[in-house]
Amino acid sequence: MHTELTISQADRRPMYLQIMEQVRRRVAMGDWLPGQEIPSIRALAASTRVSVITIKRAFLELEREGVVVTRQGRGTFVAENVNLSRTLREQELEDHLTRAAGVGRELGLTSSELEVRLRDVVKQLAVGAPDGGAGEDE
Amino acid sequence: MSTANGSVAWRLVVKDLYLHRWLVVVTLASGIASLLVSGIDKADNVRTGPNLGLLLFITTVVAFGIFVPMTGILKERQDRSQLWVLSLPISPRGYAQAKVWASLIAFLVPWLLLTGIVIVAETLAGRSGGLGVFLVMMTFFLAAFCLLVALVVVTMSEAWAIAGILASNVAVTVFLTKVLTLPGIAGGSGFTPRILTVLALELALIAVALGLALTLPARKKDFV
Amino acid sequence: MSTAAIELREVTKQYRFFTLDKVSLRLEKGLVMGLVGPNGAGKTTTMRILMGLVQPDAGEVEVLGCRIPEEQVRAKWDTGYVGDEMRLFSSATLKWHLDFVRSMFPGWDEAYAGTLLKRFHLRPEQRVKGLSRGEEAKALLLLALARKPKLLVLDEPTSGLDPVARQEVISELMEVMQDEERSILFSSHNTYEVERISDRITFIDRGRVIDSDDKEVFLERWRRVSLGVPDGVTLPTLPGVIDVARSGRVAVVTANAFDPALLPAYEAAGATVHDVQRMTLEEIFVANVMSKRKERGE
Repeated sequence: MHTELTISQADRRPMYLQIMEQVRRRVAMGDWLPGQEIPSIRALAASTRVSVITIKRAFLELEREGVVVTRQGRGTFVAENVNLSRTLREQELEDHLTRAAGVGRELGLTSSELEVRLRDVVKQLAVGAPDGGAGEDE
Repeated sequence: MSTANGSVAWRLVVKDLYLHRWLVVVTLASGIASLLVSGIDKADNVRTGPNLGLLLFITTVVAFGIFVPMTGILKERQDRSQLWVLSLPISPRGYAQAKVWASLIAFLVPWLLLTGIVIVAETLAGRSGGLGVFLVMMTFFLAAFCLLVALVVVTMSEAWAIAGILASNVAVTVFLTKVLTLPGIAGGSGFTPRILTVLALELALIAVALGLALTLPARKKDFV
Repeated sequence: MSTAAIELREVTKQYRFFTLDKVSLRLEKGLVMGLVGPNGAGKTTTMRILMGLVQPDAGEVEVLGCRIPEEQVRAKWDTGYVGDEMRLFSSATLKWHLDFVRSMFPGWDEAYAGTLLKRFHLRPEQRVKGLSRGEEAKALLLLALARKPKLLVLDEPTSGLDPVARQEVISELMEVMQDEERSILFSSHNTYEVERISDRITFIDRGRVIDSDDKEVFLERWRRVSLGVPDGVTLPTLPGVIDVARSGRVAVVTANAFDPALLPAYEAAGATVHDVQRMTLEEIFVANVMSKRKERGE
């Protein structure tokens, strides 16, 4: 099991988010199988060259998402019933939102203006837009 | 743990002796060479051999006495290798004491050998009469050395060390010209009362210098 | 006796032109603490106090449960210290240094020392005189690491190293942290490095600790908010905001205890929120230093 995750200085997202994304991807790609033990926090910290506290935080959030489970004194495992497609979809949503926020900034929109736009789209969906498109240009 | 600490101090002493090894060898070689030169007596009135030999011999011992504390104590501090040694399990006090012992041992090795050679050679040649004066002179060099070590280890300052070296040079000159020429010393055969008195004073001076060198640095609050 | 690897309580040390002023810090076992501060802030002095080389005028110091300076020898058996500008003996070889330290420490790991020699590309036969500054820094680190100390105190361990060597050194430090009984205190000018490998971060400026916290808490607490402020609108003074830089119709607000509730509060006052940004450790550090200096009227 290769354990090295990568952290990019050029990536503006916080380190723990970068780690979460890579763990999700490994699980989604079937690299790390449901029920399989994940390398310990300290081993991952060493191989990634990032602080223990950052890996801990990423794992805590991943546990909240249901991607991993920590068994006291036994280590961390990929959740048995991890919803792979959901994990992937979460990732997809994250990517789309990031891209949308980026385009918004380029257009000079403030975050409140962006929020309003997003709320409008959600409202449209609730009203029953037939195709379920989220207003993204892809 | 105190024994372990003691062994660390001992290792530091051994380390210093190792780093001083070439200096000791050169001093011994130079000392023996000057003794050989002093043995070349052409029986001329100028006594070139003995005079030149004695001058070389004194220079060798005095220079060695300066090199030991300068390279062993001051240079280590200026090089910042002292900081590395102090990262080892030793207290600043233990460190300073190891420095004093190492300097003393390094100095005593050629000192004892050279003194011994002279005593043996003179005794064999049946000229043991001048040995008292010779011992007074050698002990004086040892005392001057101990004072310089004390000064360096207490002040850890180059300026003070240089002042100490200048002072000891003056002292050596005064000693050679004034004390050694005193009646009862100069030309004295064997151990006259005056020779014994001067020897006792020198030994007391050595004891005081070593006492200060071993205790004063421990009172310092900051070592680097 | 505390279980902390390092504990300083109200440590004060006065020099003619510099005072270390009531410095308190605590590093729990198993963690890495990054000490960040401008030159002359007191990082080196703090580390020298920890090693018993400088005696504080007041305050208490404990390292691995040993009182310092009294019990420094006991603490030093388990502490590896690499100080700024520390040097090895120039006339001796690296091998001599290795033998010297090995003979002293029963816990010396010869196999690990061999691995480190290879990883750091060092040749034991080489005289220290012939080593580059970076090589000597790596040699010093190797001599400390192979002792397998419980605590590493490292003053600028990566300064003067090229990027590749820096990466090698950081890798070894993180390797140490696989053992949850071991701890590292290090100082660095490279804030990215500190941000990356520290569990706890302490900011020090002009002899004082100005902030000390978990890294993740630091990064979560601080935010920069860009606001559009129409003419005539006055921004309210809100808790957690340490700086408001306003120029024309734009204001940049820096918060050290960011709360999302700030945003509606500004909007209620008539401003529009353009952007909320996270800050890097470097930005946080500079903002922190500036605001603390302003607070103290310096």
